[in-house]
Amino acid sequence: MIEKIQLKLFTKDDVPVEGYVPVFHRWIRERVLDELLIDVVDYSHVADGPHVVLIGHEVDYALDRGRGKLGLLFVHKRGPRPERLSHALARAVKAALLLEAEKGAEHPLQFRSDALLIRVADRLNAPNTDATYERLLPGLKRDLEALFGAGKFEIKRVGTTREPFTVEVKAEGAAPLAELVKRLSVS
Amino acid sequence: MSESTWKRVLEGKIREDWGREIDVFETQIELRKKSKVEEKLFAEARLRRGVYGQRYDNGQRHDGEKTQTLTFPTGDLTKGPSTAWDAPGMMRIKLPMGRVSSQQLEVMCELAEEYSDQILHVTTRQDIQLHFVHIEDTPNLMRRLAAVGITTREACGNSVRNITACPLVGVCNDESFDVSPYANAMMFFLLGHDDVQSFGRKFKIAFSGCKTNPCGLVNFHDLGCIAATRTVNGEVKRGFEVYVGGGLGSVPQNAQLLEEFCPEEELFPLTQAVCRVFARLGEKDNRSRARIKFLVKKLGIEEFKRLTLEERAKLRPDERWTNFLDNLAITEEKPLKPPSKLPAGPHSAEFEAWRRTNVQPQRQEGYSVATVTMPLGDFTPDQGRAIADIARRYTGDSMRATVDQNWIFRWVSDGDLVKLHAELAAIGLGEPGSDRIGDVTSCPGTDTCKLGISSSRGLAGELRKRLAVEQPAAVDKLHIKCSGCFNSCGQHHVADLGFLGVSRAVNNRRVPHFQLVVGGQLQNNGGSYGLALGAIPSKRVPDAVSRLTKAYNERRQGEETFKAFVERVGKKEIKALIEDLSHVPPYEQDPSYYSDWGDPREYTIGDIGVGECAGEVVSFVQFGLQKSELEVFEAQVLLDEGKNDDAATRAYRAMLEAARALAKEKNANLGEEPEEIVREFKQHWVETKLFWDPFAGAKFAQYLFKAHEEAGGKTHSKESAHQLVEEAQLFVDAAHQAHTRIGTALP
Repeated sequence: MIEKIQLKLFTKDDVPVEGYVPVFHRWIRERVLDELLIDVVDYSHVADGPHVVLIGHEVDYALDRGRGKLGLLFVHKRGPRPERLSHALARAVKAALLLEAEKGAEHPLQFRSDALLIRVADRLNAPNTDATYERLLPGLKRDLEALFGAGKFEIKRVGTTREPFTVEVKAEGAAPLAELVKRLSVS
Repeated sequence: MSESTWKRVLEGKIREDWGREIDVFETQIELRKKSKVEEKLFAEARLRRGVYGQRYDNGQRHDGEKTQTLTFPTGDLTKGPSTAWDAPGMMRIKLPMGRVSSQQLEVMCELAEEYSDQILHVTTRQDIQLHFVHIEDTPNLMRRLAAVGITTREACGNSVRNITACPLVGVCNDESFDVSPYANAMMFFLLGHDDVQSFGRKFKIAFSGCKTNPCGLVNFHDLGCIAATRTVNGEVKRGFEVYVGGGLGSVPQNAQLLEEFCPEEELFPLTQAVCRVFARLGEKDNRSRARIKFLVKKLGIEEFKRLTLEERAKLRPDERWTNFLDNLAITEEKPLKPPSKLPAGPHSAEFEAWRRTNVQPQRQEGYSVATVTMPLGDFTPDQGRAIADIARRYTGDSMRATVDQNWIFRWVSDGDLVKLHAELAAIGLGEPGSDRIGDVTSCPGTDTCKLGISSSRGLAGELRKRLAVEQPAAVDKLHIKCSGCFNSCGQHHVADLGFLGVSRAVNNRRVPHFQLVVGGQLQNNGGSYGLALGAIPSKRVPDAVSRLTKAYNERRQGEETFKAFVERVGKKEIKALIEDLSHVPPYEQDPSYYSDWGDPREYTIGDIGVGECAGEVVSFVQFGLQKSELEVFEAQVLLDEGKNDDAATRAYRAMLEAARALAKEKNANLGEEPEEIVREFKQHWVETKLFWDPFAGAKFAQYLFKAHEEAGGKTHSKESAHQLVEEAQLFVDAAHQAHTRIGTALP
């Protein structure tokens, strides 16, 4: 079981995201995701942070510019914990594909499939230490192999011990997201 | 291996009483989930822990077309009247004087990452707020704060809120003396004090080191203390000018002078007496007239003063009134680096622009105060950690949040200013413009506040963008403040240009507006309030700002302030400048007027909920009785765990708590010694037959007397402990009945 997992799917280009405020409002109105969504917050005035956040009960979805890199940040907060990384990833990719499909957006978003950030915002159970890395690595590898194929990706632990446990994943030549999501749904 | 919990991990790092309070709150949460704590009582208990409601927590949200129900998993369970259990809420972290250490800041960043939406927000009262927090996360959140010396107790609710102070105290050129140790000691003195538990509304205190500058904003506080000195027999004596009954809101009122010079040793008893008068005579039923300003107005300052001094004379002496005077250095800050001079230039244009607006020299030569401009008071955990690092490198543990929603470093050695600015710029916080027109202050408004009418943050964000271009010098010095509703948390009354959210109906549709308030005064501690000039559609407010500032720049005489300009030109002419902007075109012609800044949904006021600023009126007795019930519950748990002596001790304590709650009603000076509590309880409740069962007579009272006699001297078997716990439960029930019988319980 993975506590408070956060996943970030990076965009191919850095574009303004304020235009996604109405998109997220519409997602709430039309119940686009099969989960309880509550509100939209615009923090685009903050440098390098979550810029537009779709607040949910279990999960927040943020168009996030943390560390200067734009992406969709999936933040699992409560409710049934994703049993495996792949379950959380499936939900994050689904949201990313829906964002890509927002063709009316002034600045369309396209997400990369060859890079991923995985964070566990739970310093009690998963401090950013070598021990946590060793404990979580086998599970991460197993799920990432199912996604990208054995030996087709690299995992690197990043950040200091003050920050949440974080790894970056790079998978050169990965299949597009639409393809990956199929693998996630069968893994 | 036992499961790791924050409670276990932080054991020994939290003050015992704070840890105990958090445990009690956690128990209250569990009991509320089982509906064993009454809804209103739980609401006020949660508010007094700083756990606040947020917009849509009634489970309803207008999506722009219709109101939708937010179906939370826990169904009908509530955490207060019309407040869904699972609905995200706000956690207010009170920072006395806005003072924060690097370690504390780092912990708050962790909490934002783990429990909130990855943003920390500086409020207009030097607090930090985290939004979208689940109530069940709050005990651990509080433990982690307590472990670094922060309590959230009484951050909300009808009690003494955060004590604010000018952020420049101790380094300012104009102050009489540094008020920090007084404000700090008063915070701890009043925290959880019996005499601040029965207010009808909240109570805000501010300190200022001087009378003339704006930083302390004493004039609109319930109680304000301005440092003053007097020379008596050649000796300089410290004291305070004490003001009472100030306030903003829909009925703004200037504070009135209570004491021209209150000697330092008399400040706490005087404050305690004021609190007692407010608790005793303040309005409890009509929540909109329950702040102390209404009481002061009703009684008149002379009568209020007479009652206060009368109460003062009755107070039981308390060593805490003066103990802190022996250690005034407790809040003293020492610079990390020796004083130095700013290296000769040339410097970058960015640095010079920042230095002009964000740096001011300290009283201590070679040092400066540097302000970090926080857009709308928001920052990320990454930025927060970087700020903590900067403090460690350049200033030591010495930062303060400001009422302008910014952040300041004190004791920056002047030679470090260039490097410090470069490091701030690297994390996106090197913007100039602090304390200037573009540095717009705002309350949360409709973003997260249940009472918000218009989007004050949306407007403030838009104004920030438009005012980012270079302004004429006179205009640049103006201040703009926005409030989302009449409660005035954005403090718009004291700005040159203030905006207050209102709504107007146009052709059967709602249109967000802002009431324009001009000519307030920040100087002299928020010395006077502006005048309302009429409502403007939200979308035309930036145009109104543009026209008014242009007129001021072109027509001001000499060094005339904006306030003086407004007074000279006259309200009528000022209003004429913006009259046409109040026109709202039909929806079909321009629907943009019908939504608010930053929120594309069609505007509605249907999302306004019942605010929690007013809290729930819960008396000291009710709180005491609830506490006694929690003690009984804890005793039962200990009994189940086979800890018989501990269970018996808790059961005895439960009876003492209940007895004290009742006895305190009859003797406001009642202390905490068991002997005194039992004696007073016996005298006022048992001998008078108020605590008297129609059938059993004084039987339940005897349970307490017997337990008191045996306290500490008896080893308990499972049976004897069990009996004591049972008796405690009966005693607490009898206390409830006695309280209800004399008719002091609230409906």
